Amino acid sequence: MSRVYRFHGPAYLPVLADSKLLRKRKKGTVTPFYLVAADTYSITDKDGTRPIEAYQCVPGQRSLTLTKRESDLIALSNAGVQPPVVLEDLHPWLPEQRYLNDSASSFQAIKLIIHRFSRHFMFASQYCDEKWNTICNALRKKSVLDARFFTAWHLPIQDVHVLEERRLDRSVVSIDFNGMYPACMQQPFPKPSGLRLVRLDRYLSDSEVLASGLYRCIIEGPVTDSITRHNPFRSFHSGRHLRARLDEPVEVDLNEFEIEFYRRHFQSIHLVEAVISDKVVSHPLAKEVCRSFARRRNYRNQDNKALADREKYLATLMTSCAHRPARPCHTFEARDQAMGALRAEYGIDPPNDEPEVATNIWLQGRKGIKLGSQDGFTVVQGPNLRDASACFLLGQRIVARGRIVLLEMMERILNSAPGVEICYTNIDSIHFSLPTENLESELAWLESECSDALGSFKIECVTRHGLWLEPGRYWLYSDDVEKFRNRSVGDQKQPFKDHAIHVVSRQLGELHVPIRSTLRMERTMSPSRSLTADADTGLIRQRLIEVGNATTVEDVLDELEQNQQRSTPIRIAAFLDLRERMRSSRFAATKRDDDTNIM
Amino acid sequence: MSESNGTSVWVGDLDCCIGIGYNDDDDYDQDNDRAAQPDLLKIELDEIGELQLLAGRAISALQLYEKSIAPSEWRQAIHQSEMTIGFSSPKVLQHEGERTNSLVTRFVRGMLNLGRPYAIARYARWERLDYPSALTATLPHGISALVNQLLASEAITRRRDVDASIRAVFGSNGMDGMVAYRRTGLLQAALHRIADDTPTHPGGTKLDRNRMRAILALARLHFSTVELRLGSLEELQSLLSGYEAERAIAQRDDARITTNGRLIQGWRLRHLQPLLNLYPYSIRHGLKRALEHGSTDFDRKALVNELALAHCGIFRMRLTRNAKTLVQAQ
Repeated sequence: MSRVYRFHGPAYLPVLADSKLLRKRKKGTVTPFYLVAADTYSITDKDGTRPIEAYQCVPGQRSLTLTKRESDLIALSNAGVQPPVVLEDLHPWLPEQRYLNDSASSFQAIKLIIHRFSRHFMFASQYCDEKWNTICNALRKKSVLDARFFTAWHLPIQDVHVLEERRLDRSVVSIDFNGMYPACMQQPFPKPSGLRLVRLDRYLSDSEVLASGLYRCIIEGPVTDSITRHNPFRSFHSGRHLRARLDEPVEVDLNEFEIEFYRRHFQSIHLVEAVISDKVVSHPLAKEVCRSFARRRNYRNQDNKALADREKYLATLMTSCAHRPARPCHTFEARDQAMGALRAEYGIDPPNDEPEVATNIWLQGRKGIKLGSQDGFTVVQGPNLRDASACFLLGQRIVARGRIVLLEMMERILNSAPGVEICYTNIDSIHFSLPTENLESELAWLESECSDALGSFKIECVTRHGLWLEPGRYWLYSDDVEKFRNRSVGDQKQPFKDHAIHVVSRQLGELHVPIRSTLRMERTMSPSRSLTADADTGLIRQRLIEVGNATTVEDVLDELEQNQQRSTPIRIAAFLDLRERMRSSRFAATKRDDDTNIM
Repeated sequence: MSESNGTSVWVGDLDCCIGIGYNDDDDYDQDNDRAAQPDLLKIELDEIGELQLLAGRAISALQLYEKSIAPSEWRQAIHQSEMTIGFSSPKVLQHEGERTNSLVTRFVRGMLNLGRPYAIARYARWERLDYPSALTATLPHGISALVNQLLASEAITRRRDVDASIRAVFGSNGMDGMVAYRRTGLLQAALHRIADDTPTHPGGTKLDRNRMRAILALARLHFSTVELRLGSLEELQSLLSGYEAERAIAQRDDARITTNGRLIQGWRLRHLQPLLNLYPYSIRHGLKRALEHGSTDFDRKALVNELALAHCGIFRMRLTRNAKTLVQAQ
């Protein structure tokens, strides 16, 4: 049986539904900022311009630069000193600021931008604290059974099915949902204080309406082609989230609306038990996020991109502000005891054939849990699931609802025209290709449904071709690249940037040491997906490694190595090919223009 | 009198339960399983078989098992090694650039990166330095941070000329073939000059002895890690030959260095060695075999096995360290 959870399986959670009073957060004080600007050789602050080596931290104040580049220059010229914080990092919604390479001009620019926008400044932690306090006021209490929502599957749909669509008679359409998560917040939530555990142990009947909550289910027998091809279930194996096999039963915790969707895609759903509530509540921030979306739309209509982006940013914070538990450390005498606690608390239960050294690698904190040793003891740091400063059900259900919205739309798109191919899905966007002869009718259908309303979608772009390397890395193009994203190395202007230089500051002892590193695209490519040629369509299909009950660690390692050896070079070659094609077509276009001018 | 619960029987006379039925069968099965396990292990070890290494050497999975490397750990080590050595597609390699385009380069870098933290920790212990400072010294801008800290503690104001002379020492211009020990001497001279040129400072000879000892040891560590950023076995061989030559000169040199008011024989020799000498044995042995390979034609599988063997050495070291710490704690 495959298991679909945050980690390997379910945790041993309390049966008794004790409730806890949610704890508000105290309002923190904000350290005053000291403005500074830099170029290669000098810094400028309120006292004037001087050499960059003269930079010093002002006691009781935090230095602030406008751009990351200026902060990096100060860090690199003054190794050991804490570098300034960056305004564009603190408020990512601010209009993009270019590095001016003149500290005096940069100082004027930061003063100007602060003058223009300071009344709109809101620090993320402060804002989240404020919104969490609103949640506490509305909900008051939560049951400890809320911890089940933490161990349930928690990630949105992010998948790539096709490497490249280059067929001549096809078109690529990309759609994007408007405020996906804020829209999901408008749905009902089980009352966190009213959660109770019920034993069901029966099959879901045809017309049954389920109470709001999280159901432990065993689902079996996929009956639709779409669910088999776009399998959304993931199992945790060898430190990675891999595709769960559907040819064996799948144990998974599902919300009632997810069961409603999956019931038409599977032969049977066996309900084992559930954490449900008889009462439902609306999300305490539902109205507020709605108002924020309306403001965002107004700002956008007024061409005020900065404030529209600010509302988007604040809405994102609102969707996630209930998921900030404390992360205490626990000390154990032996590793076995620590592993036992991890199994009981989070459902971390590595397979027998996974060596300790491999487990230690993914338990270094990347998955939110850290296992280490100190003075001969084993130390575990992880979220406190019974903590009164988090309510997991709110965030889990928002993401789960988002998954279902996307899956339903994918299903509708697949049925909307013959020959549709879903190429790429990522949280709130779908890219698909279809025969160009059907494009007109498809667009007419989409246009009849899309709007700028919350929860609706917009047609982002229509092109002839597309290249999708992995989630967060795609290029939609016709004669030129029209939309692209290249996670971690790209920027908004250069579609074919293949590396990025980052400067991070690391505190070692008393010193803050700047570390300059180059991130290359090929080095950050995941080996989790294989590429296989589809002779019928001529496409190269991408497929996430699949795991089931009988999958061994060796099977997974074999596949990862094969993918690294075979698939990553193909992806890079496709990227380089596209870059070459775009450059030569641009060159040809320029040459055509020149020839025209001559004539 | 006896009571039965289906799987065991309560025997009043014995005042205990006697297992019957399935439990007994399970026990026998478990015994059989246990007896079969060595056979399974043997099959698994036989399946892995002989592992080809460099310089015509080989090791068997059984030998690894005898050294406490279980087959699953070996598989994990192979995986980490495979992912480091990576792919060999010509187009991608061309895209990555010449400096990283050979499997041997990745092997050499993989080996040196794997052992570096251990060598740094050993060096720190040997030179009585705190580990965070030692780690800082190995970062390109970390050593500048440490020098800035020293200058601040000596009340020497940073000026552009001060920074330029420090940068000249840490830069690579004209430093080809110069070993870490000699480059550290250049830093020492530069610091003395800076102190002498600072009107408010009593001069180079009055620099705090302990601070200078620490910064020079940290600088030598910095230069030692820089000279080990190698991309080929030829570069490694050249570095080792350079050290041999320097040590030969130092052995002939009768001059004794005075430190802390004492004359210490062989002081220079003690410090004239590459950081590689402080690397774990598994890595040094692997690199030695690579140097002895005698051909420029390297089999990918052998490179992967060598790096995996080094990983296994590290796994064992970690396990031994944890066990030692646990014993000490108890």
